[in-house]
Amino acid sequence: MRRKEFRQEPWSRRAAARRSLFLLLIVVPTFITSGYMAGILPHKGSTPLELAIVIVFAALFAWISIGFWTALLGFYTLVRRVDRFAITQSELDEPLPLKPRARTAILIPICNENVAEVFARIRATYDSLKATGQLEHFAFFVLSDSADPDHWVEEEAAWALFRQQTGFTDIHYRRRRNNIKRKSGNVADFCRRWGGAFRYMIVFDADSIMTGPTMVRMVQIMERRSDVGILQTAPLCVNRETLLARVQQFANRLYGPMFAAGLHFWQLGDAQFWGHNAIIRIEPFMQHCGLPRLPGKPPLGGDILSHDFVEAALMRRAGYGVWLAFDLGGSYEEVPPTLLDELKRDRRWCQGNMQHMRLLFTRGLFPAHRALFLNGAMAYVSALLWFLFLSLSTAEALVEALRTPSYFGPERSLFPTWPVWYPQWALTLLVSTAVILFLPKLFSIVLVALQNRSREFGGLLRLVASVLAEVVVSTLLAPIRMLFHSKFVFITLLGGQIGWGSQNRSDEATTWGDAWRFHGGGSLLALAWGALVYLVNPSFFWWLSPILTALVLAVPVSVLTSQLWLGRAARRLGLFLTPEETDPPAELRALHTYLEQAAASDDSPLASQPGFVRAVVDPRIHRLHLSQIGGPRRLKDEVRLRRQELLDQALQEGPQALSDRDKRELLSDPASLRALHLAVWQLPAGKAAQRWGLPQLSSTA
Amino acid sequence: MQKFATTDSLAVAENTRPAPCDPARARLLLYLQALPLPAAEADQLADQALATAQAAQPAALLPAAMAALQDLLAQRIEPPALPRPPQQRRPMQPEPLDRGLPQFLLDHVLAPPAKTARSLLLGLQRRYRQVG
Repeated sequence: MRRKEFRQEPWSRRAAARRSLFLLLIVVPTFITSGYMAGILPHKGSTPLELAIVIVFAALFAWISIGFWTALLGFYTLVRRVDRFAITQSELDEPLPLKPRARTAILIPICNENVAEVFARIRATYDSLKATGQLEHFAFFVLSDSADPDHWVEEEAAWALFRQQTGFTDIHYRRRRNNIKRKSGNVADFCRRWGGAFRYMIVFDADSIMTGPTMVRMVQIMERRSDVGILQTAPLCVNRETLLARVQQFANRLYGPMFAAGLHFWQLGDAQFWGHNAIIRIEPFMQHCGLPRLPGKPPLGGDILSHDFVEAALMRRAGYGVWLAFDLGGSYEEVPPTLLDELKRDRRWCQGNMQHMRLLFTRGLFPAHRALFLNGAMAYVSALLWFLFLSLSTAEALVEALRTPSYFGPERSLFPTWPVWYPQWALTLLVSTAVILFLPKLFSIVLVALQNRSREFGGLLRLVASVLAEVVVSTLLAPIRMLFHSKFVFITLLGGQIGWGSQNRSDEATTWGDAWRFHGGGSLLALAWGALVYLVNPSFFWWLSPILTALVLAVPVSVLTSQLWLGRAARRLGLFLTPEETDPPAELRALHTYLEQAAASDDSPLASQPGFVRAVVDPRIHRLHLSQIGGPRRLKDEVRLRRQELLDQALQEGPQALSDRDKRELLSDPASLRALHLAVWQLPAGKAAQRWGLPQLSSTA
Repeated sequence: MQKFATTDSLAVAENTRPAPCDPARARLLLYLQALPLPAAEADQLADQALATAQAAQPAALLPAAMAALQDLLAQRIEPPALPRPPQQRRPMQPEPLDRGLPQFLLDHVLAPPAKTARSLLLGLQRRYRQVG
C-alpha cells in the first residue's frame, strides 16, 4: 500500500481547501433558505408537520446546491483555462512514444447487444487507433456475457469477419458460460486470465467509442503518473436521434463539460469511476479491487451491482489516485433512446447505488469516497424526498384549509394572533430555487459564447432557443422521473429485486400501450391529487400545478419524446444541435459508414438467419464455432440421451421448437452440434429443410 | 446478397443433365457454396466425396458423402486460425470490506478528538516542563 506517501501529494492539501469551500457554499445557503422556508409556513416550522417539511426542504436544497456549485466552479475552471492540478497537465509538451511495456488491453464487455453496432463501434475505434501508428501497443478483448444463443454465434461471426476484413489479429473474443458478478465479474475474469500480460486496460461499455489519440494520451498520462490508478474521461453522448435522446445529448454536450470541470475542481484525485471510457492500472486493480459479495440477500446484499464506485474507492484506499480527465475529448457513449429505457436503466442504477449505503462505513475508505457513495444514493433518494416534500406540503395545505383558525392562544390576550403570510418570502425562495436550477444553463451559454463556439451548436440564437426548449422538456420530465425514482427507492428498501438485462440501444419508439402501462397510474394519481387540492385549498393547487400537469401528461410526453421523426424535425429546425452533429468527428463518420455496410458485409447465403441456425447450417460459421468451444466432452449417459432427444426434436420440428437453454446446450457440445449439422444437410427437401433456412431444397427431388 | 443456387441451376451451370447420383452431388455443391472455395475446387471435393461414398456405402449415398466431405474439408481447409493469447493466470481475491458503524465511529468520530486532546495535553506538559 502506498497510502501514507499518497496523503502527502501536493494536490491533497488543495483538495481539502477546495472541499471546505464547497461544503461552506452548500451549507450556509441551505441554512438561510431553510429559515426562509420555516418563515413562510403558517406556524413558522413549530409543528411536527412543518418541522418535517423544513428538514426535507433543507436536504433537497442542499442536494440541488451541490449541482449548482459544481457547475459554477466548473465554469470558473473553464474560464480560467488553466488548472495546474488537471491530470492532462502532467504530460510533457512532446508526449513520449509508447513503450512496449505499456501494453494496453481494450476491453469491450457485452451482454446480448446488437452485434453489428458493437463491432461497427470497435471498427471505428480500431481505425482511429491504427491512424496514430501506436496500434501495436494495444489489444482488443470482446468479453461476452451473452446468454442468447443467437447473439453468441453472431458475435463469433462478427469477430471473425472483423479479423478477416482488417487483418488485425490482436482482437480476441471470449464468452463466459456463467456470467458471475456480471460486468465486474467479466472484467475480473479477463484480469485473472490475461491481466498479467498488460499494464493497463481501457474499459468500454457496449456503446462506447474512443478516439485513438485520446487512448494514446491516456496511456501516456498513466506512464508519467505512476500514482494514478484510474483515469476516467468524461464521455460525450452521441448518435441517437429520438427527441428525448437528442435533448439529452444536447444537455450533456452543453452543460456536461462544465459539470465535469466542477467535479474535477473538488474531487481532484478522489474522482469517480463510471465503469467505462476509463483506463485502469491493472496490477493494483487486481491486487486491491476484487469485489466480495455483500452479506444478505439482494437487493441490498449479494453481488455489488454498481461496481465502479466501489472499485474507485478501493483503488484510492490502496493509495492510488482516481482522476477525471475533464478536458480530454474523444470519448463517446450513447444515451437510452426513450424515457422508458432510461427508467429501466435507472432502476438498475438505483439498486446499485442504494447498495453503496451499506459500504458507507467500510474501514479505510477516504471521506471523499464515502461522500460519493452518499451522493450516488442521493441521486435517487432525492426523488423520494421531493415526493415526500410535496406530500407533506399537501398535507399541511389541507390541514390548514380544514382546520378552524385559532386566533387566541392558551394565554389570555386582548389581541388576536392573526395568521401572517409573507408572499415576498415565498417569492424569494422560489426565485432562489429557480436560480439554483437554471443559472448553470445560462452560464453554459455564456461559456460557449466566450469560447466562440456557438456555431458548433447551430449559432447563438438556435443555442438559446434549444436551451429554452430543453428547459421545457426537462421540466416536463422531472416530475415523471421523480415519481419513478421514488418507486424504485421504495421497492429497493422493501426488498424488491431488479433484473439486469441488456440495454435497448436502438431508436425504437414507445407505443401508446406501453406508455399507458408505465405512466397511467402516475397520471391518475396526479389527477386525483390535483382534484383534492383544488377542492380543499385552491390557492395551493396553483403551486402544485406545474408538477401535477407534467404527471398528467406523462403518457403523451413519454410517447412523443421517443419519436424519431420529432428528433429529426428538431434537427432540421436547428434545435438541440451538438458539435458532433454539426461537424462529426472522423470516428463517428466511420461508425455510420460501418453500420451501413454491416448488413451487406457478410456474403454468406445464410447471413440473414439467426445465429443458432447459422452455427448449425452454415459450414463456415459451424466450423468457426467448433473451433471456439474446444474438444469433445465426456458426457454421462443421461446427458447423452437428453442431447439425442434434443437433436431428434430439432430435426423434426426445426430450431423454433428449441428453447434458448436447449440451443445453448447444443452449441456447447461439439459432438451434438456436428451431428446436427450433418443431419440437417441430409434432410429431405421440404418443410423440415425450410425450417433450417434451406428453402432451395424444397425445389429438389 | 448471394443466395443459394438451386440444384437445377447448378446442373445448368455445369451444362449436364442430372444423373441418378446428382441429388447428392447437388447437395454437396450447395454445402460447399457457403465456404470460401473456388468453384473448381468445390467440384473436385464433391466428386471425391461422392466417389468415396459410392465405394463405401452406395445404399446411403448422401450421409456417406457428407461424412467423406467433412474428412476432406478437414484435410484441405485449415481450421480457422483464431488463437487466443496465452493465459497468464493470476489470482484476484475479493478485497475485504469490513463494515460497521461502531468501528467507524471509533475511528472517525471519537479517535480524532481524542488524538487532538492527547497532543494538546502533551504539548501543555512539555510547555510546563520548559517553563518550570
